Amino acid sequence: MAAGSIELINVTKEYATGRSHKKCALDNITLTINQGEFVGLVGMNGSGKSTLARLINGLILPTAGKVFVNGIDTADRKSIIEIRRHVGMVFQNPDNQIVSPIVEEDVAFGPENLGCYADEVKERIDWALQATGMDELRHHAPYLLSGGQKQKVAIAAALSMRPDYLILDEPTSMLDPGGKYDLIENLKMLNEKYGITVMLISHHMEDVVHADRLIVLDQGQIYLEGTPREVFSSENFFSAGFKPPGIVQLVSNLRKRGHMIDENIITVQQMVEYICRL
Amino acid sequence: MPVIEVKDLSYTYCPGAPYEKKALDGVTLSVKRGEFMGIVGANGSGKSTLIQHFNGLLCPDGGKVIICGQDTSVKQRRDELWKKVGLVFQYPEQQLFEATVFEDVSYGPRNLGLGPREIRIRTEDALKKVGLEPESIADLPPICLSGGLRRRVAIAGVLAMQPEVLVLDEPTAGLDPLGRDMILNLIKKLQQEDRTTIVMVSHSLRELLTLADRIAVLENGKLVATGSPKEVLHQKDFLALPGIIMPDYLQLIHALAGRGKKVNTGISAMAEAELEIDRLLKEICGK
Ligand SMILES: Nc1ncnc2c1ncn2[C@@H]1O[C@H](COP(=O)(O)OP(=O)(O)OP(=O)(O)O)[C@@H](O)[C@H]1O
Ligand SMILES: Nc1ncnc2c1ncn2[C@@H]1O[C@H](COP(=O)(O)OP(=O)(O)OP(=O)(O)O)[C@@H](O)[C@H]1O
Ligand SMILES: [Mg+2]
Ligand SMILES: [Mg+2]
Repeated sequence: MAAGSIELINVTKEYATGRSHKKCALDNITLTINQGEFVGLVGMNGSGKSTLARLINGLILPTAGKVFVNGIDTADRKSIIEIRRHVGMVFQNPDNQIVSPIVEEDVAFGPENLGCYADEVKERIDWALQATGMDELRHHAPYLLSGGQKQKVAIAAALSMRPDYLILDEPTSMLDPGGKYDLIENLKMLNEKYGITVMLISHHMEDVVHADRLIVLDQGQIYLEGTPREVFSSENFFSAGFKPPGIVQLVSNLRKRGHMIDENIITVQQMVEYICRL
Repeated sequence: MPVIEVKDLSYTYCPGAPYEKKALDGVTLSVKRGEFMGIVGANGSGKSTLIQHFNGLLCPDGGKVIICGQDTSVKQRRDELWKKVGLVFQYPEQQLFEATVFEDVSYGPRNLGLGPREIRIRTEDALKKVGLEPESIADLPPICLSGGLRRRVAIAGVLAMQPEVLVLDEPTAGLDPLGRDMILNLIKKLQQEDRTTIVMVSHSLRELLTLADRIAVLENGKLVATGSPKEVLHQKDFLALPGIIMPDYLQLIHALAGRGKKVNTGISAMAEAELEIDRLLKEICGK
């Protein structure tokens, strides 16, 4: 198995939902995520996104097939600690993740367990708290925070780990627009500067326009895959009920009005530059 | 007469303790019957704290909250409020407790003392309204569901009560695009057809600009603006507030204006932005 990647080979995951009932959440998925990639993962409710995330960090095991992280089989339970060092997670609900009674300790938990030196731990905590805007609340109790603030603590804890792979399950769902913007910028920075592989799950297409690759799940299968631009312009994307970011919708509407605008435009900046060059 | 009247409301968490926090500070606000009130503000600005006063979950430290003519500082009245005011919590896990989806959604109707037939009808109806099939989901434990499906169940549970006032704390968070449109249309329909009063917290200005009659803006526990979407959007300093960023189509319009293009920055809807750019492009190409 190739090191420096996450590989899922013919992975199926079934959950027991009663004595004789099963739910197939992932259906024979084969997928490679390479070190250094920024991957966006989208899909309708119940399509299997969180299941995929939990399989990658070894929290659950496939019913059939194999998951490898840097060549290590997640089913090899002796290696689970090793896998958790490589894969950092932000869970969909922050309550499932917060471990300490004080924000700062919660953020320190990861780097301390990775065996970082005290200076390094401090530097990482300070940075992660600044990056999420939680610096002022560092001595607060996480369970006494607002919904979005809790989510920021969970994000800061994962950012401070600087793992090889960072899997974020709808981290922007409760963030205000400013917090959302900051998070995406920080993820881009970690990806570019430290080569950290990012897998970002979201229902908001604006969050994933900068991804190298966008994967669309549907009923446990990979439905579409490509660059965000390729996916946004795919007929199948629309017919399944997805909508591209507002700017892409705007471009497409203006084209219908007869303006020959560049179809490759997917961000506000690109559109501004395009119009100003005309 | 307003359905919700908030007068000089203040609320402090953990008074006297190290984590003391004045979460609301002198908020005055009223919502008319049948009105759709949107609430925005940065993380931690006090939105959830404010709306938990509307169903009596929190009781004011200072000032008054009067719901349907009743002062909520009287304990007995506060206990009755759940029948009139349905609250969808920020996290669905805060309100799903029963062993099956059916029991969870029917919890409200059962407590209202309705008959078994009516309970079943309301429960199944509410599940269908949020895009779930009663046959396939009713017997599942809520913990077996994905995040977005839990959100739908939580919303169904409140709809099944058919409350006069519907208060929703970020109801579209975690919903897929189809679910989002479905729930927003449903809320709008309840307002327009049943005259249900709606209070909705959201970080999506785009949602509120298209749906709300009025928007209230919180910052650090204080109410800093109220008015129609257009009034609030164009109020000086609104966009400079922490945590507030325009929807992308308005960012585009403002960026173009900043680069000297003649576009009307007074708009608020996406369709208006389309017309503005259409006109601008025709002008540029006509030259
Ligand atoms: N522990 C579990 N037991 C039984 N079924 C489960 C369990 N966890 C998830 N499921 C089911 O498996 C399917 C996939 O769930 P998953 O959480 O992976 O979806 P998702 O894509 O993350 O959805 P969402 O956008 O709503 O978060 C859903 O039908 C869900 O209800
Ligand atoms: N139980 C609590 N104990 C102490 N402080 C609290 C508690 N709950 C909230 N707070 C604080 O009160 C303030 C307002 O919180 P609230 O939950 O109302 O914010 P919000 O506007 O809903 O934020 P978000 O967008 O993040 O959900 C925040 O500063 C928060 O840290
Ligand atoms: Mg999920
Ligand atoms: Mg809140």
